[in-house]
Amino acid sequence: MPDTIKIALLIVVLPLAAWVLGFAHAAFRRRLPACQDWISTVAVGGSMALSLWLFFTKVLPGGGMAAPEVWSCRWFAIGSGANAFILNFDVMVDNLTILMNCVVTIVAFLVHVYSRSYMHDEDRYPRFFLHLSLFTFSMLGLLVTSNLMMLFIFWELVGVCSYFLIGFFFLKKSAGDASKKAFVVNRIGDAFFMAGIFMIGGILSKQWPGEGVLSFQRIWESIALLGQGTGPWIGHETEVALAGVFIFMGCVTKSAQFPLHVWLPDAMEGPTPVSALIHAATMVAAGVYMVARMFPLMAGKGYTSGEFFDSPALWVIAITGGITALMSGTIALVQSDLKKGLAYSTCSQLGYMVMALGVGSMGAGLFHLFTHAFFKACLFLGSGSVIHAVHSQEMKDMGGLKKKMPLTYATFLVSCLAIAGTPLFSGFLSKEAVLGQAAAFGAHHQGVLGWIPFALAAATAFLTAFYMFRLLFLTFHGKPGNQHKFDHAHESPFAMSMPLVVLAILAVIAGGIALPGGLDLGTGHWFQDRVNDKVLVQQAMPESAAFKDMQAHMVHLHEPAHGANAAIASFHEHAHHVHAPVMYMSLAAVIIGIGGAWLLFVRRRHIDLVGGIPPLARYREVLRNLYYVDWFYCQRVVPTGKDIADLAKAFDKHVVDAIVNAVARGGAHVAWFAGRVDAIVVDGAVNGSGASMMALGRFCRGFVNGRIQDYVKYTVWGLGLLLIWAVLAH
Amino acid sequence: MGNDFSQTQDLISRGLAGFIPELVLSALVCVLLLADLFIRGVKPRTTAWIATIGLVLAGATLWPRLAASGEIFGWMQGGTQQGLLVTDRFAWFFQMFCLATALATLPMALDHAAFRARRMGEYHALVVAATLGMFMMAGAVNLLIAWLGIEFASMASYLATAFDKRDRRGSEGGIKYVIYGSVASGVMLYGLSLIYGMTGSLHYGAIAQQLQVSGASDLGLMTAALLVFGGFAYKMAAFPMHFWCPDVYEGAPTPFTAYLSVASKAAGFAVFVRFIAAFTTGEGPSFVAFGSVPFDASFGWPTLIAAAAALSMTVGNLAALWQTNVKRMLAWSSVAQAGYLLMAVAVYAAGRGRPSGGDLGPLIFYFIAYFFMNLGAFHVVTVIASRTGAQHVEDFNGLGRRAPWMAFGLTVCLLSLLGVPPTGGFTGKLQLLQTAVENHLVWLAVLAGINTAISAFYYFKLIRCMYLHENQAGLVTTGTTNAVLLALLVLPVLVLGLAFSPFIELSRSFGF
Repeated sequence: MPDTIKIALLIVVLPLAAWVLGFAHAAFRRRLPACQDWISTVAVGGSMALSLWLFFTKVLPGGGMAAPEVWSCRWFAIGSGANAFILNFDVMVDNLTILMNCVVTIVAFLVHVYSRSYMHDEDRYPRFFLHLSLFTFSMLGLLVTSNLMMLFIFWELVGVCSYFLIGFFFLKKSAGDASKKAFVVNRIGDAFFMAGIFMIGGILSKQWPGEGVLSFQRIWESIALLGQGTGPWIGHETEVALAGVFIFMGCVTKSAQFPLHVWLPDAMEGPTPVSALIHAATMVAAGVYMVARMFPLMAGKGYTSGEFFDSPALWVIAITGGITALMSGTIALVQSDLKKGLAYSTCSQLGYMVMALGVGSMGAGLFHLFTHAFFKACLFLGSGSVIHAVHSQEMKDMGGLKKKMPLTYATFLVSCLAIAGTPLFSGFLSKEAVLGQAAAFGAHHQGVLGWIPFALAAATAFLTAFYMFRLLFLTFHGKPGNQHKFDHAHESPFAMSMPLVVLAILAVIAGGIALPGGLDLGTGHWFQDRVNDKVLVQQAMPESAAFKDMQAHMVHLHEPAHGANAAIASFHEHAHHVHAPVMYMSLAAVIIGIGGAWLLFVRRRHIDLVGGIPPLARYREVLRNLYYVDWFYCQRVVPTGKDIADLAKAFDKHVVDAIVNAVARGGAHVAWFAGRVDAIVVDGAVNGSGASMMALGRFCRGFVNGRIQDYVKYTVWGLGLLLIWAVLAH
Repeated sequence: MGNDFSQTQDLISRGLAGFIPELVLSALVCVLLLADLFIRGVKPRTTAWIATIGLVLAGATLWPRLAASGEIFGWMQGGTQQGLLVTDRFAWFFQMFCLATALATLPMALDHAAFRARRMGEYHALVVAATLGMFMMAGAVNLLIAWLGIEFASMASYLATAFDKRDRRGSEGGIKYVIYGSVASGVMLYGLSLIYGMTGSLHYGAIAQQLQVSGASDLGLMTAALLVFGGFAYKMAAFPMHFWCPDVYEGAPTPFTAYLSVASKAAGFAVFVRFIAAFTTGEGPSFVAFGSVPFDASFGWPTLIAAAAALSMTVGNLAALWQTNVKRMLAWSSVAQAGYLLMAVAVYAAGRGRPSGGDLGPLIFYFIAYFFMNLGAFHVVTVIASRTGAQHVEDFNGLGRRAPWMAFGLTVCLLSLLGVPPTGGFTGKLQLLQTAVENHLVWLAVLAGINTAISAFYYFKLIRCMYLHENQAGLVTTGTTNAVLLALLVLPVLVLGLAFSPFIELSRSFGF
């Protein structure tokens, strides 16, 4: 096992150890250790240190790891020989794994520190940290594994942790309901996800029996072979797209994409540190991560030649992401609850990432995931700090807190600038990358349809700046909404403000030091040079002939397009041409967005958009009702489901039960007959009424009546019975 | 004459050299009895330690026999070597198995309420003596030794069952056990004498050879075989010799019930399988070849065993439905388990002579799982019974709250006995069913499936009581030793259900 793998596994195991320690203590001492917060924090701190060490030794120098380190061992085999289905423990560490490990451990560590202060007076305080440790372990496990089944296991584990933590205040009905909603909605996507996994496993194992076909490498290779016209997918071309879409459905629920985004806003019932860690920075991004890992599958047949811009799965992904981004962005305009506003913003940004993957840029999507984690965690923890101060989540109770909470304000402002995409901040670079790719996609398609993702993304870029500064202005500027609460507000203690400051710094520098023409890191390409499908996918398979062939005429999108094939060259050229206009456009969007927000919410002191612009008032109801998506589920889908259930119940009762009852009655008659025949020896005749099995059971038990003489007699009968049976049957 | 004498002497001394584990056990019996007699105020813990050390020592001396093969105490007759006992991997497995059972039930006995503050040396001596008998059963290649081993193990078991003389149920169980056992023994002896009369030998190999040469009348041989089978079925607690089982299991001290349900059954299967091996194709454990023609099993052994298996599982499961006493329920459950295990023997007998058949792996694997799940279940019952003095199903109400770990352990073991993944019981049963289907015993596999469904009723009854029924009684404290033993018994059940591949390979290697 290579050292890198060992360290990566240690990173995963440390939080698990914290969990096991707490759990064992609870098992033997009937309560959690009082110092569970320390145990968990130290464990995740260790993981963070190791992750950063890997980052500084493996990822940063010399362009990152050239190829991933992989290790696997057999878990089990179903069947034997040529028909065996093999499942391995696959572990893979590459640039993306290490970067994601850093994101998860840094945010988790800061959230641990923050929670020691924020959650301190809550009931079940140690349990909170126990859940956090389990979550951190599961999330890290999800990142280091490199096969779909293992990924699915960790996927479910983070899901259940999310369920625990959303419902952490389970005595509050709304929290219990929200956790159930999250759990149920996620099962829908998971069912599709599983179907996708089974499809891939079924098709690949037919061609490659006796191998661990669910590992990423095998799936990538199968797609590369498909591009060459061979391999297991031949004859199953439709299934490629179908499997891609099914697997993407897992992302739709986990990453809260339309139309199954409905659980994420409700998940804000969980404690605010949880919202920051799980429902903003890490778990919800797992869907994006998973789709990125499966990118070749989504791209399908055209992956090897680079002509994958017509892949149906990618189209579904791009459009879903775009719709989610715009829709959530508009809903965020009318939210009066600070955390809900941030939640819709998260949905919207996740839509961005998904869309970036859909338009064919793994690097841009993941880059936005990376930068978003820091500033969104900072925003959530900042909102927690405010909520801690005013004991309310409603923005009408806030306002004017700038002077009371200068540090919180400063960090919140930095993060808002970052998420809006202001130059010099990390969000600018990642958003620029996404918009640039979407625009290149549009230009490459040369039709109106191709521009749809870009149009959605550009509108969202404006909305993002607008609604984020709305939140900022309503919370920190203007007059206090509630004088009493304002008077009692105060800056949060060091343990809470320190994570804010660290995250705010990361919100600036995570994209690289954003000086135009400055350092090597300043272009934002440092990330995409290390995280792109050439590095992650193609170089992962040095022995695969399909990939060797492919690398020969494939170039990276940021390199000059010499030697590339026509499709890549054309895309590349378009990307080059649209780059400058896109940047000016997004700068304009940021300025208009922030300026508009300032005008409406600081100068005119409106509380939402529709109050400020009367012609929009007729849309107020639509937005307030969240586009009627929740309403549709509650009024249409759930009752239909109940009707079907009633139908099934009726069928069960009138048809299935009738058959069962008839059989049981028949059995009972047989038993009655048997009881009659053996009336002399059976202690009381078996009456025909009871269930047939119980009657037969009584018959059997009847022989053992406690009298040893009878036992001997029956034994002889039994031997006789066997003799007759053996003679007759032979 | 002098030559004969020295040959005999040589035989005995070489035999004794291969007989060391048994000698250690014999010595241990004496030491335990003497400790009870001569050490004033000897504590149960002391004798338990003596027994532990002795058993471990026996295990250590048994270990080298893993590599040994061949018969011991043998003599030349008619040009072939005819021994009394055989040492091979199969015997080794079952001997180790019984030894491990004796070891695992030691802490249970220490914890047993009725055993506290008593001279326990005698009890341990009885357990060790029973184990010694089972050692002989596992290695017997001579009908007389098989019978002697069964008797030896039974005698000790009778006494241990009635060990708590103040307990009326225990005494009653002991008496019934003696009477029933002697009937079984008589039946078996009758069969043995018929076989001896027909073949003129007691050695398996010689008998099989003789049968092939002379050919016995089908019905006569079948009757004799059936009577012998009765003796084995008595040890296996299988139909039709299962009648003693509920009364004895209920009456015996729970730790001994645990021992009986696992070790005694295993030894019964070991002796039976070796007998079957000799009586089917003739490729016995250590016999010379019988020529190229396999011995025709014309008296329908597979059919007979399959019938016994079918009836055992059905009767056991159906009767268990009605039980309200947990020990009695587990007794019937063990009759049913004997049915599942017999299924493996039927498959084995049917598969002899076929290239793919004759694999004892599934049987051995199921026994490995059975060791952990049945002992685990009995361990929890012992602990709870000695804490609360109760052994009825309703007394387990609310145990999920009162003793969560014990309840969890019992749940895992019950699910495993039922055959639910991810437990060893599931993997084991899956193999049994799979091999049954492959060997054209589909009807038996279907019946086993139906039986599994029936058994879910009573296994889940207990689980439901533990988790869904309320009970206001206080918490049950269990102690560290019990918790450790529970973990040692329950974790392997899960391991066998999750990482089974190496164990399947391992269990295959113990066949012959």
